[in-house]
Amino acid sequence: MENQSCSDAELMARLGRGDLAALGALAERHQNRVLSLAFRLLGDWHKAEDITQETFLRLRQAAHKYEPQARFTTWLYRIVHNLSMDQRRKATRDPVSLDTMQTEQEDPAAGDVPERRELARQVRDAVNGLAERQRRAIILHRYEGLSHVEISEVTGWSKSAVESLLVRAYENLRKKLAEYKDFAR
Amino acid sequence: MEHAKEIELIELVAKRLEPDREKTLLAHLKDCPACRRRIEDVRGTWDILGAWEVRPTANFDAIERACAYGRAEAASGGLVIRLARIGTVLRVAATIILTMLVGYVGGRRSLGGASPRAEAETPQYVSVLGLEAGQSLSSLLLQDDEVSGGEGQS
Repeated sequence: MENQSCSDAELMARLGRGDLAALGALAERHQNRVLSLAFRLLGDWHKAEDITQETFLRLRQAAHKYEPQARFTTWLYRIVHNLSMDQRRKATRDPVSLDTMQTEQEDPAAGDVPERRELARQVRDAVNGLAERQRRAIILHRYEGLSHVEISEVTGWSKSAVESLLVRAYENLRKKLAEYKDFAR
Repeated sequence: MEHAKEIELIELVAKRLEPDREKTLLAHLKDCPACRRRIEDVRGTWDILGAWEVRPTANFDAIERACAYGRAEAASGGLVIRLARIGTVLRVAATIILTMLVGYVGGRRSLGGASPRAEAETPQYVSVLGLEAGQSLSSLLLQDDEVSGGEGQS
């Protein structure tokens, strides 16, 4: 109960003093968002789980020097983003990993209705078919709810570059998904 | 008012526009059919994208996995991290040793090459006067020469 009332920064301070229960509380609070982001970036639940574990280990290692300047989640997402991009680069160099990634993309979250599942698949493919930077911008903006400034902090791109990427990404997706326009309503 | 920028329409649909700007933009949309069509397109895309939901696997427990790893790492006194960084440490150590070795060899060569030249350049008058190298007077004489030469120049 005590952990639930603590802010993320307070939990990080406690973790910096060696309190592993604080790490548990942070993981409990953010695990699902971290996992979802890693999955969307990588398209593979197993790799997403590894990234999630690694993210919380990085939190633990960096806790003693953590300074709450930016929002905690922005900092957290930056770790997830960078780890996921490293993982993607490795997968690009290793064709076996890429094959595995493509076959493991099926996710059970699309719902039980076949039409809805088909739409989810189309959307996922459309997003994954975008140019890499547009894809990342859309995932962080549409699915993780980050502002332009936050996306800029997570990715290291300028704010104007983020805005330009988002405009192009939404435009491309509008064209790609035009035939499903009425389906979603 | 000018037409709305595309990025602002996206932010309006995402409900992340600043209140003042949102108010202005909504007022413009009332009077601008072109912008209303554009925002309908953006909203349509936004809604379709919502169909891609992901539900993290229920059996995954990052808390347990991270804590277990953390406990193991604490129990080994940081051994896990040290092992992971051993490659970096070895590379740095090798660089330092190599630099020292190159410096040492270079230094020895430099010293070894200087002595014979020094002997060869001993002035002839020193031996004529019977003041060969190694005798204390010859070094005093040379020092005097250098000092007086320096003063003369200034």
